[in-house]
Amino acid sequence: MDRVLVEQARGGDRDAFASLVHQVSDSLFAIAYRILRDTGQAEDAVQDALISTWRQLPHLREADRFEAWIRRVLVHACYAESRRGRDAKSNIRLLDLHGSSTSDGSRALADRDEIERAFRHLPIDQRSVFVLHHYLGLPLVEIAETLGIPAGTARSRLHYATRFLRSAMEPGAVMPIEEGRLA
Amino acid sequence: MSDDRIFERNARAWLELGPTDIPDRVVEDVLSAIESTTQERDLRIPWRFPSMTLTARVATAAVIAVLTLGAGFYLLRPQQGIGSPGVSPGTSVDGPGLSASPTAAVGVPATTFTSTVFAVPLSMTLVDGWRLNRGSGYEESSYLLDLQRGTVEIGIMPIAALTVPGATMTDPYVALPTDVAAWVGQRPEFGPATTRAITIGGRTGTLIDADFTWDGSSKYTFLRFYPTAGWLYDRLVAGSRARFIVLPGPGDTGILIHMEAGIGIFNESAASLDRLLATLAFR
Repeated sequence: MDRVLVEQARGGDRDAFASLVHQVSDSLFAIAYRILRDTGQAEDAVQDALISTWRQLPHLREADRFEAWIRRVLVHACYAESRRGRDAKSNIRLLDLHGSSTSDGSRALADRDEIERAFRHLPIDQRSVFVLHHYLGLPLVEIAETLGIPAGTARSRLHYATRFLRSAMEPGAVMPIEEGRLA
Repeated sequence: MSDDRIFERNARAWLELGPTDIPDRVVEDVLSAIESTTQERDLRIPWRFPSMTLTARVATAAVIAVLTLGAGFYLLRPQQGIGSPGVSPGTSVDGPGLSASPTAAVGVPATTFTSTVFAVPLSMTLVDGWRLNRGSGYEESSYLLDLQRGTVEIGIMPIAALTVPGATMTDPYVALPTDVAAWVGQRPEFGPATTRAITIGGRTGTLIDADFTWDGSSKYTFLRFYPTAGWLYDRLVAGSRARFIVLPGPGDTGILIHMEAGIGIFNESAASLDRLLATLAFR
C-alpha cells in the first residue's frame, strides 16, 4: 500500500483516497462476499466500510497499518450487514426431500453445496476468522491484530468453525437448505 | 494426506470460488458519497484543565454531577404504555410476567388474530408488536404459525405433526416425546433445562427453558414436521436460549410453542411472550 497516498488521504485529499479505493475495493469485496455469501450484502458492506474509512482516516496513527485497519473496518461492516440481513430472514427452512445425488462426478458439487450450507450457519465472527485464515492466508496472530481480539479468541473461533464445517460434511449430517429453495 | 489437510484443501478451493471484482457502480457510488462526506477531525480533548482554579474545578464537577444525575433520572423514569388490550377471561400464565399488563408496542395497535389455516383452531390478540412473520413466506400453514417481534420469532406447531432427532446422528427422527423436558435434558444441543407448569388458554402444560450449546456433533435440525418431512424448524443458534411450551390437548390438538432469543434479550422477550399467550384462546 502506498504510504504517501494514505498520508495524503488522511490529510483530506479526496483524489488520494480515490486511488486507495481503486487499489483495495476488489480485495475488500472478495473478502466481504466470502464472509457474507451474498453479493448484495457484500457490496453494501464494502460501501459502508470505505465511507467509514474515509471519515475515520484522520484517527489512523500509523499509515503503514492502513491495510489491516481497513480490513477491521470491513469485518465490522460485515457484522452490521449480517445483523441487518438476519433481521429480515426467517429461521424456518424448507427441507430438500429428494436429497442431492452424490454419485460419480457430482460428489465434489455435493461437497461444495454441503460446505456452503454449513458455512451459512456459522456465527459471523467465526466466518470472518475462517475467511481471513483460509482465503487470505493470514496467521492467527495477524488475524487477532486485525480484528482487535486476543489470539486465543481467534484460535478458538477458527477451531469451532472448522469443527462445525467438518462435522457438517460427514455422512449422515443433516443440513437445512437455503431459504426459498423448494424441495 | 491427512483428513485435516484434505479438509483445508477443500475449504480453500471452495473459498476461491465466487466473485472477486467489485462492480464499477459500487466504487462510483462510494466516490460520489465521499465528495459530500467530511472527515472526522482528530481532536484530542484534554482530560485535565490545569489552568482552572480550585473553585472552577469544583463548580465544573458539580455541574457535571447534576447533569449526569438528571440524565439518569430521565432515562430511568417509569414508562407509560400506549394501549392496553384486554386479556381473554380465563387465561392465565404462571410465573414471571404474570402480573405485567399487556402493552402494545408504540405505534403498533394490537389486533385479534384468528387462524383459519392452522390445524388447531385458536385465536389471540397480537399485543406488544407481535405479528405474523409474513416476510418468511411460511407464516401460516396447517403445521405452523410463525410470529415475529423484532428479531425474535416464535413458532406454534401441532405436536402431532412434529418429529425430533433420535439419539444419534444416524438414527431416524422420532415423534415428539411425551416428556419433552426429559428429551431436552438428554439432547447434547442444550445446557441444563428449567421446567415449570403453565396454564394457557385453559390448558395446563409444561414450560421448558434451556440454553443452546450445540456441541458440534449432534443434529441441530431439531424439529421436523412429520406429514411430509418437507418442513423443518431450524432455529438453534449457539449462545441463545430456547423456550418450549408444551400444551397437550384432546385428539391431535396439542401444540408446541417454541421461542428462541439471544440470552441478552431473552427475559424481555419471554415476558412479552407471556403477554401474548395470555390472550390465546382455543376455539
